[in-house]
Amino acid sequence: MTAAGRDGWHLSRRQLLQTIALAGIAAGCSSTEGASPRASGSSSTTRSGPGAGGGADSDADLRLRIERASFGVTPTLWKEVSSVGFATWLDRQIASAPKQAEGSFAELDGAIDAILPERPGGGRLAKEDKAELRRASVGVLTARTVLGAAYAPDQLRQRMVDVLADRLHVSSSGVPELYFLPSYDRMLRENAFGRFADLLVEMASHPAMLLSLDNAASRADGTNRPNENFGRELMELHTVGVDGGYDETDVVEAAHVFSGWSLDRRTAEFTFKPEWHSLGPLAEGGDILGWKPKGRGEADGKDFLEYLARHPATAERLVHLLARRFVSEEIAADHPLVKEAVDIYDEQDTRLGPVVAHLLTSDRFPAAATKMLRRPIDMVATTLRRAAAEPKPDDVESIAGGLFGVLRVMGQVPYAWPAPDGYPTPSAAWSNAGAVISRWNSLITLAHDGVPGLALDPRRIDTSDRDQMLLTLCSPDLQLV
Amino acid sequence: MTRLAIVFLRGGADGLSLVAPVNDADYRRLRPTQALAASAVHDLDGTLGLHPSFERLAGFAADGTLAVVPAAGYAGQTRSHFQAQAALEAGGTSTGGTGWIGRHLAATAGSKSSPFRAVAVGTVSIPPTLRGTNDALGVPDLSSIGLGTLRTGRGRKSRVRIDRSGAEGFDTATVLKAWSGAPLEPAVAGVTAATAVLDRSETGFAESSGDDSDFGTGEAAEVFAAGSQVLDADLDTEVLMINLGGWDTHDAQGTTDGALAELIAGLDRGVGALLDRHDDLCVVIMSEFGRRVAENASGGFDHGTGGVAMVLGAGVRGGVHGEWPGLATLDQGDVPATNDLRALQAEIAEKVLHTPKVSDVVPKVAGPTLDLVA
Repeated sequence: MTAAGRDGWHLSRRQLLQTIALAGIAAGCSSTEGASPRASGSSSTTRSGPGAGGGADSDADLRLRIERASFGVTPTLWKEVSSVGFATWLDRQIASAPKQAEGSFAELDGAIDAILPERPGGGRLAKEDKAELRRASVGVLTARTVLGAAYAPDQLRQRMVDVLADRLHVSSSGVPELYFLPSYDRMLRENAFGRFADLLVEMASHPAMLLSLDNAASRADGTNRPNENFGRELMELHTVGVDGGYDETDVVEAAHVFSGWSLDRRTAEFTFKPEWHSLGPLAEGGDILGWKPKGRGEADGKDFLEYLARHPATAERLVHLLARRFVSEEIAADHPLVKEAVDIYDEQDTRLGPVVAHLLTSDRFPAAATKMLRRPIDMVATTLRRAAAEPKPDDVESIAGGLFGVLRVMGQVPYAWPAPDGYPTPSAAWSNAGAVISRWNSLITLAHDGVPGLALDPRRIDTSDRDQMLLTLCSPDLQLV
Repeated sequence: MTRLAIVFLRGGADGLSLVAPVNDADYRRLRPTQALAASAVHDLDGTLGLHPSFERLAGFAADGTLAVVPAAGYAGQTRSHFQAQAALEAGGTSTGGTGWIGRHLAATAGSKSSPFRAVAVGTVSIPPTLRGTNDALGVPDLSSIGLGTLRTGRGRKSRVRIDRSGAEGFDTATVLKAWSGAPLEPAVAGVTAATAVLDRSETGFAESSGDDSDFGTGEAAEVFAAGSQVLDADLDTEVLMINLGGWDTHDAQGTTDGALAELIAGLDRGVGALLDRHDDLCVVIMSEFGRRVAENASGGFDHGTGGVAMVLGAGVRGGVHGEWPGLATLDQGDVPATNDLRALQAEIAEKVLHTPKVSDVVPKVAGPTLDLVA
């Protein structure tokens, strides 16, 4: 391992663990309070259609739109949307505060967060402390994701996080990341409908990402070569994409822009270390994708993130992903619906709320939408929405353990995808025979109350027979959306 | 008939640490704190040496059954994980998302068609290498093939048990019927294949030999043991695929010990035990690219181009194959991809898999054959 320099502090993973232990800050509580989404979803055109008229066709159309905006239509949700109209319901979803304080879910939500320990032990983390950290972090991420998708009233936000957690993925395979992931997940939830430019700054300065892509240790002073991991994936995965027009020189230059974006050793919070920062070759002119630094240290990085968020390649790629998830996995990047949504992204200053609102309310939606296979988290959540009673807060820890088991078997534990590109979108990636067998076994497990605290009730799907319920759960009606 | 095992090191394994040019002055100059000492490695040919953690592979090298291809890659390849993996798994050609092994399987299916012909273990997805055929399967391990209630422990490594009593009343034929005519082709195909796999499992799989301690401990050991069990079972598996992660060592890579050394030790024990148990096996180890020659300030290495590939086991001609260009002339700071991996893939397709038309699987490239396999 590299030794700490005399003037600087090399933040190795091992040292970071000690920092975490010393700092003792509870993850999930450090994010900003009271952040409110700035955009409402109104876009002037094409708002008349869904939910406005009567008839069977419009019911089916409305049902599909609600299915895509949520983790499954329930009688309560159907009634709620029907009474105010889909567009209004959607606007309210987007305008609602990130953390819902009302309803029975609030108590459950509190119980989920309570899984996290105050601190994972003092001093250097012992083996059992690491195990406790893993158990707590994976537990809170699993419960928050799945129980949130199943029971939280802010359904559209849950859907957005499902997409953003892939686009801005941090893998839980590292121990330090595990500590910071619950707070990272909270950050994604708070910024889900706001400006993508702001989300990029939150992402780039979050300890989970700084550790996951190694930027916390990146220094470019003197003869030091900065760590290129974050600079590359920022352009390839988070923004413009691999065909976005950058080259290898740009990757090195981007790494220089973010050199010094690090963590405070004492508090484990983001800090910019000017003594580690150097623009390198960019200081003598040159640009990255047309962007030029101003030599203002940390502000250069933020400026670059703003530039990347507004870059046409970022807009197209991000909006296309949202369209693939909310409308059709097969939709072309140049489909009129996608192009309209890209225009809205630009006009609305990179706000995500109006983009999603347009995709889901457009008159183009019914013709463009195609069936998708529910990914495992989606499938579990929708099963619970349809057939399970809301769990008791006291049961959350054991539920988290049981859900972790079935999701691991199906290959979609929240944040556990090992590479930085996030879980795949296409149905084909989840359709292998092995995955299908795991899917059935997970449903058999749920149907036989194999996850304590989550009892499925056959009567909720109009049968008294458990085997019949299982067949319904395994059918295309429920597996496809 | 020789069978094939592909071990894919995901993340871009540092070729210069797996097989180090320990006497090269440029190697020591560009890696002031991260170079391996000449005395530490298992010497191969006076120029290159195996990482000290390759204890088993050093033995295979001495026996003449380990072939090493340094400076291996595709000419002009990118330094993106995702593009480089896609290119390598596709066999250096673009054919609508099919993999090089997938195309071989599709071309040779016929009467022996079965999802067990190619099995990827430790996963529930089909790796891109095996795409383009119905004759491939991704499973965590054989014990996960079967219906029932899942009994899982909390730990990361604890095995999942299937309690088959839970599946009473679950009729796959009824499920299959509900899916006939369903609108999403990949999902329907998956359901159909799952039913076929379950039918096959009715006749039972060979029991695991019980003691897997020769594979070592940890995640790599589990996946190698699962792969070995597939080869032991009476499934006529022709190709086994094992994916190992963690090779993206941008930070704190370490030298004789540390993160990379642990990964190498896991690979070494896994491959060693696999070959001990299966004398009809040819193992290919590959990764999407090698890493930068010079170290970065966080004790790691960023994405590079030329890496290292290895072939070992049945029929292999040992030694260093291809050309080692040295480190005097670099490709934007990286080892040039002097030895084309398509040549390796084509030779495996021809001599191990006996593909009828090699150019359908891997396009022909200029240059001499690597002559890795007899």
